[in-house]
Amino acid sequence: MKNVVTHWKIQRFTALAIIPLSLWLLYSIVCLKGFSFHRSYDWFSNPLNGILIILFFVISFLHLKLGLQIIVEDYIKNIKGRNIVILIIDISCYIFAGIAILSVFSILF
Amino acid sequence: MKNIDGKDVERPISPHLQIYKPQITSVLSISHRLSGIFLGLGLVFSVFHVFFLALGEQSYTIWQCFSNSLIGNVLLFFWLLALVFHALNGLRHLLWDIDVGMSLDYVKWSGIAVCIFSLVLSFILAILIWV
Repeated sequence: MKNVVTHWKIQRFTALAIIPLSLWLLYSIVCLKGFSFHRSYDWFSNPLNGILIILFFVISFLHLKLGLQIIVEDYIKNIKGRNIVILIIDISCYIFAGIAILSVFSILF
Repeated sequence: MKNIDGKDVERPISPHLQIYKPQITSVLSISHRLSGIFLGLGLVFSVFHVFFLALGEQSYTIWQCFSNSLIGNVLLFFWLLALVFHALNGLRHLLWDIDVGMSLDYVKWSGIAVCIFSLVLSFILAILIWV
């Protein structure tokens, strides 16, 4: 993240974006009652749902990454150790978001 | 965190939870962070869910042994509660950012409202999902 201002802005914009996305996610969870394989698979095969869940994962992981970074900066005093922890968080977020995107794509196509 | 001129800044370490007297404001602030961390864990679990779904029916059935168990359902409930709380309290933070509701009175009442609405909404969600 370039500087504090960009960090602050992206944190807020992702927060705003997650509000409608999580409303849609909650609606989906209610519809998918029980999460049976076929019902879930059919649900993900719908391109609109596929795109929205990818958006949800990407934006949420970005929001998570930024939020965790702030917490780490508040509680880890040693700057070197702090940067290592932030790097680990960043890489993990990218990996998990990548797995999510690949999984959704393999269901979609 | 980098400063605007690209230098590492040594910011004061906050908040001193052990010294601070718990108030609705401080308790909600730390709850916002804790629920955020907990939701991050939920996000990782949803990645597993989608991953096993993509692997096919057999792998998904194995994953469901956990995700459909009592622990899985209890976790799902608390993730819903955390999501509703984090969203409502986050909304409060966003409103503060545009300078709405910053008075001490308002901060207290909106804090109590967030707690009540989180419980009520996640209870309604739980009924919709499990009943």
